[in-house]
Amino acid sequence: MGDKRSLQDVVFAIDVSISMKKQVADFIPSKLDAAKEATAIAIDRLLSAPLNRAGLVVFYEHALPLTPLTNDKKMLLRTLGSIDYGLQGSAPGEAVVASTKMLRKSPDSRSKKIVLLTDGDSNAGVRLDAATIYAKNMKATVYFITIGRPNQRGVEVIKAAMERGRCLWLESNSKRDLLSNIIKVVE
Amino acid sequence: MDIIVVAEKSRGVNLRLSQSIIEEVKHESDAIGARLGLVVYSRRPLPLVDLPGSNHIDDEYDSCPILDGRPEPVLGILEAYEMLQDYKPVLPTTNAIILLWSATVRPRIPFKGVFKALHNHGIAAKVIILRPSAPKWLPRVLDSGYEADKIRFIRKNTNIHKLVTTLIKEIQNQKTL
Repeated sequence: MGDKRSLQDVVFAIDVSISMKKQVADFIPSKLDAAKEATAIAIDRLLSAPLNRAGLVVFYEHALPLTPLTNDKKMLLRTLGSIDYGLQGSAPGEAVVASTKMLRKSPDSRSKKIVLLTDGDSNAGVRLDAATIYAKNMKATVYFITIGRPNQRGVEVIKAAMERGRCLWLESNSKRDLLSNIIKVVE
Repeated sequence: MDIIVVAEKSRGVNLRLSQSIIEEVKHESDAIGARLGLVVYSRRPLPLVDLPGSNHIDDEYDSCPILDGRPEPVLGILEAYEMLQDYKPVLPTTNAIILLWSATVRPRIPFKGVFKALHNHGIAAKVIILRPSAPKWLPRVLDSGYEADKIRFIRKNTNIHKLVTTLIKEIQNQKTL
């Protein structure tokens, strides 16, 4: 009661490329499993306000919207649980475009967020920095939550995107970082 | 009226020329109160400005980095079609797609059926090729039923203002669906 925070529409775009299969630091059994676990907690927190909505996108060489924007927590968590590894390639730019399109019907009065959970690889699809211009034009903020330290090319790609779009980069070197970063975004 | 400009942003395109055409389209569309959208493309399409968004499509085209790969205009058109469908107003309106294409390299995806499909959905398609004449392979990638006079080529003496004004008038005279 009395909560004056604006309503939120948040799209979680999860990297399911092969590299997410790896176990790094305490991301056990894999980076993808850690991303799914953190996303489940974030969805639970986000949808504790019943008018907030979430959507799910996965990406590898392509980006696939898995759900529409919804406040159906059960459906989101069931879908999240079913996410598995994709194929070769990683196209975060395509993920930003697919996520932004999901926000097309979202009214301007809502806070629009795209949370990209990735290990930072980028080797397919449309350029990430160009895609973030589109997100910015749609008044969406893109949060890059990296799982483990991205390689040099990944760092350059994220930095270029931050120059053009409305983006924030939250590095996660442990499960604890990951959880605190994702909660920060949805609260 | 809803107009989507589908503009190539590859290494092979004359950026100054396409920029000047986009500025002219923006100017003419503002004058008649049309909604404008922008899709850029090279190997992949990218929506850059959605229909209800800002009308600064000229600035946005300029700010977009060069996109990699062989330009595939059909993918740009499909992206624009999706945008028109997503923002379809309740009342019928005139819809149009203006394609800017360098036609320096033969695309892998031919236009077969694309213009016919757009026509069937009540969408006018205008093609501006940013070169003085047609490349030899053009008839093989275009619709057989697509009349060649619907394509505009940009020659040295082409008056961009006149070209765009004529094009917008043609769109205005299009039937609404």
